[in-house]
Amino acid sequence: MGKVIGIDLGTTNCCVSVLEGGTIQIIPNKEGGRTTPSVVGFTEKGERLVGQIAKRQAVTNPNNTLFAVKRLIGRKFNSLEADKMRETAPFEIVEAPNGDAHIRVLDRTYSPPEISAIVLQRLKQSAEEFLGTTVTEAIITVPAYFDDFQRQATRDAGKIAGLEVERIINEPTAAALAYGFGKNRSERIVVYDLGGGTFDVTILEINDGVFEVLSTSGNTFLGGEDFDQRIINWVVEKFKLENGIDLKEDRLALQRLKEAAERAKCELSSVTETTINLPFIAADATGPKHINSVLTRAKFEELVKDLVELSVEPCQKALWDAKLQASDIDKVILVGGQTRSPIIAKTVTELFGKEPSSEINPDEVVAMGAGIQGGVLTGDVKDIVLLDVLPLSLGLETRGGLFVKLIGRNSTIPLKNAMTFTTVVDNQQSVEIHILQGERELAAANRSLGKFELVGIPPAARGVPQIEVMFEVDPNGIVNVSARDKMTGLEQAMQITPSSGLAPDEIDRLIMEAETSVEKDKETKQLILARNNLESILTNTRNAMNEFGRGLPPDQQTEINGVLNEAEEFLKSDSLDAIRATIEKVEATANKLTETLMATVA
Amino acid sequence: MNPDYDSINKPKMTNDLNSSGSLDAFLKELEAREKDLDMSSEFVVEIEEYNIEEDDDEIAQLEKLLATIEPNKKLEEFTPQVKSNFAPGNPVIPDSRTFSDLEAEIKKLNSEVSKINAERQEMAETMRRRSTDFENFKNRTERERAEIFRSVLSNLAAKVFPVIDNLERALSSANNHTEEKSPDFQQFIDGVGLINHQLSVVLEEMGIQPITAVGKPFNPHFHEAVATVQTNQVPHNTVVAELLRGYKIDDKVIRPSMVKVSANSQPSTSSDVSLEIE
Repeated sequence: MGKVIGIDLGTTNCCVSVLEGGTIQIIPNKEGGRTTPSVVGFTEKGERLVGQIAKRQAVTNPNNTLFAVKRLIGRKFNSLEADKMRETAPFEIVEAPNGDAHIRVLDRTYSPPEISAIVLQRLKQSAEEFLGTTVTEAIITVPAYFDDFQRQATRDAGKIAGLEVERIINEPTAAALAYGFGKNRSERIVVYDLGGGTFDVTILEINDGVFEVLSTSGNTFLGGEDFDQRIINWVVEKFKLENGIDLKEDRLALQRLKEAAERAKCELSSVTETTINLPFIAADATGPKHINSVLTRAKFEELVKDLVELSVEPCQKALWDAKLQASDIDKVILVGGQTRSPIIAKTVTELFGKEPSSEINPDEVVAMGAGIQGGVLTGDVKDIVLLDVLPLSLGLETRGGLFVKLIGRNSTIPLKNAMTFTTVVDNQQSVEIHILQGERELAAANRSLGKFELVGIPPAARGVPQIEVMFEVDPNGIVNVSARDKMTGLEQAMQITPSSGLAPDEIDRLIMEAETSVEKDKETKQLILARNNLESILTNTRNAMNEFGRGLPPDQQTEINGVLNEAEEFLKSDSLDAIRATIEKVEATANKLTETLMATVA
Repeated sequence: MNPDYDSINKPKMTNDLNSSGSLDAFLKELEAREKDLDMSSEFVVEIEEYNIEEDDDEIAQLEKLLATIEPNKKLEEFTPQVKSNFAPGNPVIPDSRTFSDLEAEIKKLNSEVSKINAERQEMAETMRRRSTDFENFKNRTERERAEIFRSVLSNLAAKVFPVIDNLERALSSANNHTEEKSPDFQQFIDGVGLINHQLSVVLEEMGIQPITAVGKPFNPHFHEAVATVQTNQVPHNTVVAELLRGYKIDDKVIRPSMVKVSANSQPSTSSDVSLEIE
């Protein structure tokens, strides 16, 4: 088994790690960043851009620049999340034939796993460059609340990107692993994760390698960007009051302010006072205007107080759902860049009565945990066992649309469980077995996995027939459900394979496509490099001509200019061969020019 | 023959002789004794022979077994221990424990050997991993070392750029000042302008170059778009204004140019934008 990389596939940012020489390394991307924005851009030229580069062109290409696709993965078009995305996202979310939420880009639609696959492919490339070898296996993290569809969709994304996803693990579990928790210990851990755009709080219980999610809560639209915005608003209002100029109307000023606000926020994590210094931010008839404002930590905390408050209620809810008191918690872990602000640590300490752990970089801790799990699989890490658990409960719909759980969430798999049901009306001859997944009391509020009917029950008074329903989950998370009439022995069964909404042959096709697009990207890159090459040769030769060309006989001048003008046309060519041929031609001309000039000088 | 045998039995015989009256009885007794004596002496011999054979077999068996376990181990180490049972003076008693003890020992050794083997294999595996890791680490460090100067310089430069930006803002603000400037002030501005020029020369010497933007096709590898401008005067997706100058070192971007980009009201699908990749 080669290296297994750990990937934190985040809503706003991704991070990759690998265990090397017994320590976890964060793999930097091509641009040198330790995290990569989860952004994919499709240009009209057919180029696919990922990460920071994609972000830079978002303004010019808003309909074809996709971000926060994680919010859509494994979701239906008519789901609440998709609705919310449709309101804010500049790209077009469409309904796939199977009801899934897909995205329309240029002239085709993409499923969310395909988009995630493009990001994953890039991360895979960075890892391969870093490790100097091919990488085919990965651990990917997902939020604790992800259901089977979303997990499977994430798995599919990996597959399309050419990665065998060895395990899907929960983000809070990964964070706990990174802190080395769960080694022969029994602990209850709170993971407080305030990222760029989402807030999650999870309570875990660790027992002999089993990481159980006791409860999870959060706010999907709360994150560090909201904190920056508060500082920006404060400065803008102050400036308006003092100078009567609205900085929000000036793109450059706003951009400068955004960067300054983020920097100020970061500085206030370690010092109690910072200066936002933006000279010449604007000008009016009276002359240039500067910003030179002191922002104290106290003022900043006052500005974001309500945002911090927004995270308190989910924490209390998580405790309540887990039926725990704050005093039952052994450890608190901070995840996500925004948790660096002292006010977060303070609030968390007040909430749980413990100083939170924050020694590990909160932007990287989840990826690190995933990397450690990768090390467990390759045998590099020995003292941790992480058992697979069912993320959500499985059960049936019963009379009145109620949901009856047969297998509780957090059960370690494989396992099976049976329960006996009966009929609701006299002489009922068939029962419908509707299999669902979720934690809600009402069947309709949970996710339907499938349904089948058991027919041919002999007529009897209601409540007499005994129908045994058996749920069996195998090690791969595949659920087998069977229903048997105990009297007649009549049986009916169904297998539920985890599905992301993409059919297996479709996934195979997408894998092929992704591979060819890598090839295509390579070709495009070569074409672009050749064009650049031609352009610089042209420019140099032209410069040389302008400077020294006058020393040449007029007919030679015309000839050279002719070659150059002709070559100019090929800058727009899409043919690599033609461009290369032109480069040779121009080079030959340039050489001739140099020779002639040398001869003139001599 | 066991020398102790007679010495033990003789007094007993004498005792018997003393107690019996008739010669007949004595002779009978003697015959019987002799028989006994013969029998027992034969018996002892048998035992002895049997034991030796048995033990020899055992040794051979052991040798075979041990040879399969650890072929390199010399057998002599074990042999004396086994043979010592036959040292003169020792009572030859068929020792049933010897065999099972050895069996247990073999089992113990066997399990130890397999444990050690497993450990060795694990160590070899760890070794292999570590050495691949190290090899790769070495190569990467080599690559990175070449990059270190550039990356340190980039970091420093990235921190200096805002200062240069502001210096230029100050200069352009002064130059935009339309009112008549006093000669002193003008000279002061010119001086500051020279300082600015000096700075850009220093950057140039360090290999840090400004990124050209205005008039070029927009390229996200070098430019960061913050706004679009509706215009048909230039081709679609062309940089029309530079809000903040970008810099690169060789072809590595330190800071992308912050730009405004043209958007044609009806963008042609086959745009003739040529993108650059670093």
